[in-house]
Amino acid sequence: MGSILVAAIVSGSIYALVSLGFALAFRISSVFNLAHGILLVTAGYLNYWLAVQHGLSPWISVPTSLALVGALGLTIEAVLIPAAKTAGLKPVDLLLLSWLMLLIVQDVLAIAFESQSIYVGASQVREGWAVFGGRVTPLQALIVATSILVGAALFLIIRRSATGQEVLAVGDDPRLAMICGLNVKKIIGLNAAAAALLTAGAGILMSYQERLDPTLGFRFSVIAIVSTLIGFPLGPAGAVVGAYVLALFETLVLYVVDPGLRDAAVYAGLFLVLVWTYRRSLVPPEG
Amino acid sequence: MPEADVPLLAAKNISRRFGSAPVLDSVSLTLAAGTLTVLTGRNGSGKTTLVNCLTGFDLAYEGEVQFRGTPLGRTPADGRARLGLVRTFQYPHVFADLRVGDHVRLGRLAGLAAIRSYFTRWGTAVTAEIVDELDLSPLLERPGFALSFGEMKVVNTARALATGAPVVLLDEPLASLHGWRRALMVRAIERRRSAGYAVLVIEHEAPELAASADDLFELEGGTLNRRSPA
Amino acid sequence: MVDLTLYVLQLCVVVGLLALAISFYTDGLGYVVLHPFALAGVGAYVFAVLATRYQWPPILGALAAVSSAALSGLLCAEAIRSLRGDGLTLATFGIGVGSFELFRQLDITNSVFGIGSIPSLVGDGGRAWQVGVALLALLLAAGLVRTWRRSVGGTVVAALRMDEWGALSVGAPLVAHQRVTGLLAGAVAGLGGVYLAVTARFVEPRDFQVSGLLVPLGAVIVAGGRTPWGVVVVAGGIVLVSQGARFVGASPVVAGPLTEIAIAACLAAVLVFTRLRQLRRDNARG
Repeated sequence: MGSILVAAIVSGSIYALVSLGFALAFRISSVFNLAHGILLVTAGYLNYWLAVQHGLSPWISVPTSLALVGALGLTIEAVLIPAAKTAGLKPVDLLLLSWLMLLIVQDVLAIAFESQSIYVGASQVREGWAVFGGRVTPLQALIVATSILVGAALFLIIRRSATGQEVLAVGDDPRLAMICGLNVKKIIGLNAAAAALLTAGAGILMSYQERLDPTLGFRFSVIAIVSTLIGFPLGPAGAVVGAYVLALFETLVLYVVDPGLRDAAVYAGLFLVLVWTYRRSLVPPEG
Repeated sequence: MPEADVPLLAAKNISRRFGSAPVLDSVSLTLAAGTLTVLTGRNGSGKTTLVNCLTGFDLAYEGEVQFRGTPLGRTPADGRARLGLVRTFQYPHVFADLRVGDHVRLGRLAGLAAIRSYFTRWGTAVTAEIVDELDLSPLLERPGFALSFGEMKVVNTARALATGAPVVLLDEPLASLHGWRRALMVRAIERRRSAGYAVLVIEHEAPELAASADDLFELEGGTLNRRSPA
Repeated sequence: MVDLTLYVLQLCVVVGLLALAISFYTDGLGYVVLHPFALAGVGAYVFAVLATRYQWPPILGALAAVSSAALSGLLCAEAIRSLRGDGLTLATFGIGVGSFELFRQLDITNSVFGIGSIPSLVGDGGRAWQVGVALLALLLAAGLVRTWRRSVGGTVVAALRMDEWGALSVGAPLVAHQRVTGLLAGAVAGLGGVYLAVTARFVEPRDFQVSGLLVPLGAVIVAGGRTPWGVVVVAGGIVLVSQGARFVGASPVVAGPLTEIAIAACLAAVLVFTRLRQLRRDNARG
């Protein structure tokens, strides 16, 4: 049981960082952006390309990757999605378009890197510390700590700070927020940048820990959506809680049911959480 | 045709809150066959909310609604409509790409059992009393999106009346209607009353209906108060 | 060259059937669903297992397979009946991808290795037979869609799509229609799966990936509610275009990612264009 818990916490920590990024973006856009996961994968591959294929120091490759992928995320969340909404595209259209974008980027990466999975971590396997029957490497411990700290910080920022309240306001009603004098574009931009950086950062951290392949983007998009919806009552930072819950569920299926059904568990989670979250209340929406 | 003197609809202690704000507070109402009830009240007083609750579009209410003495429980809107309780909308819900003739036919046929409906051809002929009553013949081929607001209201009402349901709740059926269209609508409502239907009409300014109504109520502050017909 | 033609024809049929299955939803209740390939997979695998492992006669196996797919469609419809809009689409996406994972993992589907040596429905008939079977499958499905559209039920679901509250107010039995839609979509998708199984004689999980819906979905969006034959023709057209390179002698291993990029980009453009055109029309109507 202990090793299951440790495994769940370790994988949950990466899920948490990615999901936090998605949750922030989702709080404002309300779009199930399936393309969110490409930020994770692109950051990892970009860092690999710079650090490994071009031999740059991580002090250069990591910030560069973060900046470039951050810009990509900013473009998607703060430019493309608002423009699409203004043009009148519906949430279903945006969902489909995000899926198409995901497929395209996935295929571009597959072509560019000849479908190779990549790994930037050190070649020697670090032993790590024994914890409750499992093993945790220093990097994994760092990621766990980071996810909890960032989650807690975000929780406080959203609840207590003016910026956090502004993000919530824009998410609830951008027009009203504008009328009340908030700089909606700036808030959307800041939020999108934070979301992108969190996810890109998670991708880079992940590439030092395990192999990345282009199809991971899709899997992490789904993980992010499920985690966000599970933790929804707690606000965007609740995605951290959601991520650990999902990781636990997934790890249980992996160890107790069938290792091959690990991915199926995530998709079952998606289905279940959607049916639960959007089940018809006693008042169906007028339409 | 419904029998007279049988309470078709009985609402008992209907309460509805939105958050902490009470919109309906223990509202009780009885609609008997062959009666016309007029409901008035200021904007936002909860008239439409009451209709939503009675007809099952809003099931988050406390209290009980009975149709012909049988409690409706949590029966949803379409179920209540098939039982015989139909309503129209303040802002008419018309089908944009269907013609007026199709609206009337849908009123008659929408409630068909699903399996049976797929074995029944749709067809195009529209033969319904309501078409002549409301003089819809010139509009039959017009698609929903091409109707004016007043025409939409008439089509909305025609669709509801075409169901033949014995209890009809009309939400501002005379809004935007003037002259002969208004007179036709009033006459159609009166005819339903004479034929033994229970009709509830929400209207602000309808002296022609208020004068002949069997019951006149005003919804104010969440409570239903009886007023005497003028 | 003839084999290639037959292969493309068979692909057109499968894609056409999937497009018709989707159209029960998009041209009916108006839901955008992404699980029809999973339903096709149910049809294909049930047929394959019954025919190879239990030696059922192919016709019986096909009937059982289509029924299973129809039942699966009904169950899915029941599960998603409270959802609408993007939540519904995403939930069906979950069903689609989850089913793909199940096909890859379960022993009964022979996991990633797939099931081969599937008997043909019409023996090893010649080209004429093959084309005949293809046309028969399409005729059946298109005929079903046409009858459905012209029925009272077909108009009721269209009304539910245009204005759900308006339709509910006159007693349209929403849940029952959701169930029938699921049943019909499942049956036609299952037919597509069975057809794939009997023509390719081999099924594997990769045949039923959600991304395979790109073409049928695109066909339905482009056809925009026109006749069922219109949907089939558009679907066939897209398949011909995407496979076109092979006709002019390009490598049989068409750069999979490259084709997918092209199709995805085109579908995105079609989606945006169709939506904007619809909005312009609605605004003009006032």
